Amino acid sequence: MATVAPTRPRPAKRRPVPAGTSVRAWWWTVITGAALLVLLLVHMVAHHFVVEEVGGLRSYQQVLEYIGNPLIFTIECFFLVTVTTHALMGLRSVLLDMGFGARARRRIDAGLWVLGFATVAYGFFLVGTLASRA
Amino acid sequence: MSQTTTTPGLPGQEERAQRGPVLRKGIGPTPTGWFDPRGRALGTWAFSVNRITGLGLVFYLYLHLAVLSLLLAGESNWNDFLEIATTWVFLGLDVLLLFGILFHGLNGIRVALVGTGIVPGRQQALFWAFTVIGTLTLAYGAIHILGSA
Repeated sequence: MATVAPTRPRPAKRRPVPAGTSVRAWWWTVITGAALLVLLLVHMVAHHFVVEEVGGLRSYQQVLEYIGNPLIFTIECFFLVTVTTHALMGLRSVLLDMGFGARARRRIDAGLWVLGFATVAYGFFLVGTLASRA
Repeated sequence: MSQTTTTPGLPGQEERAQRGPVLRKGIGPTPTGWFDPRGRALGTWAFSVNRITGLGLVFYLYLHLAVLSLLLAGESNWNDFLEIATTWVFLGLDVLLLFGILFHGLNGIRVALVGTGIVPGRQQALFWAFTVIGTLTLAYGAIHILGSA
C-alpha cells in the first residue's frame, strides 16, 4: 500500500526571516491584539462587573455620566480604533485565504479601508454625541 | 461511482481519492481548508475555532454599534432595550460572547507567543494551560452574569 505524502511541510529548524505586506499585517494584528487585551479587560470590567444592575448594563444616565468622563472618553476612542483595526485585519486574512487573485485582493484591501474609516467615523460620532449630552 | 483520473508515479493517489477528511483530498490544505479541521492536529482545530470566534466577534462589533445607536434615540428607547437585554436568553448570549472573547484572546496570546519566537515549540502546553485559565474565567463570568438576573 502506498504511503500518503505528508500534507504539511515539516517545521524548519531555522525561523525564516519575516518580510512583506502579509507579515507586516500579522505584526499589526499581534500589536493591536495585545493592546486589545488591556482595553477589552477595562471595557468588560467597567461595563459588566462594576455596575450593580442586571447583566451589569448601565441606565441611560449612567452611560452619559460614564462616557462624559474625559479619561473614559479617550480610552473608549482608542478602544474603537484598535478593535476596528484588529477586526478588519482578521477579516482580511480570512478573505485572502480564499485564494482570490491580485485584482480582487486590491479591491478587498480598498473595501476594508473604507469600511474601517466609516466604522471609526461613526463610532466617534456616537461617542462624541453621547459625551456632549453628559 | 465516478473514478478520479490518476497519474502513475505519485504516491498515495488512491488514498487521496477516497471520501474522508481533508487530509486525503489533495496535496496540502485547500485555501479554505480551515473550514474542515477533521483529521487534523489540535492546532488546526484551535485555528478553526479562532477564526469562527473572530468572525463572530466582528459581527458582534457591528451589532454592538447598532445597539449603542439606540442611545442616540433617547432614554425611552434605551430602557426598552434594557428590558430585552436583561432576559435570560440575552444574558446567555452574553456568556457565549464571553466564551468567544476568552477563546479568541487566549488563543491569540498563544499564537503570538509561539509565532514571535518568545515561546517556540510549546503550542500544546500553552493550549492546555490557557484552556484551564479560560474555563475558570468563563465559569466565574457566567456565574456573575447569570447570577445578577
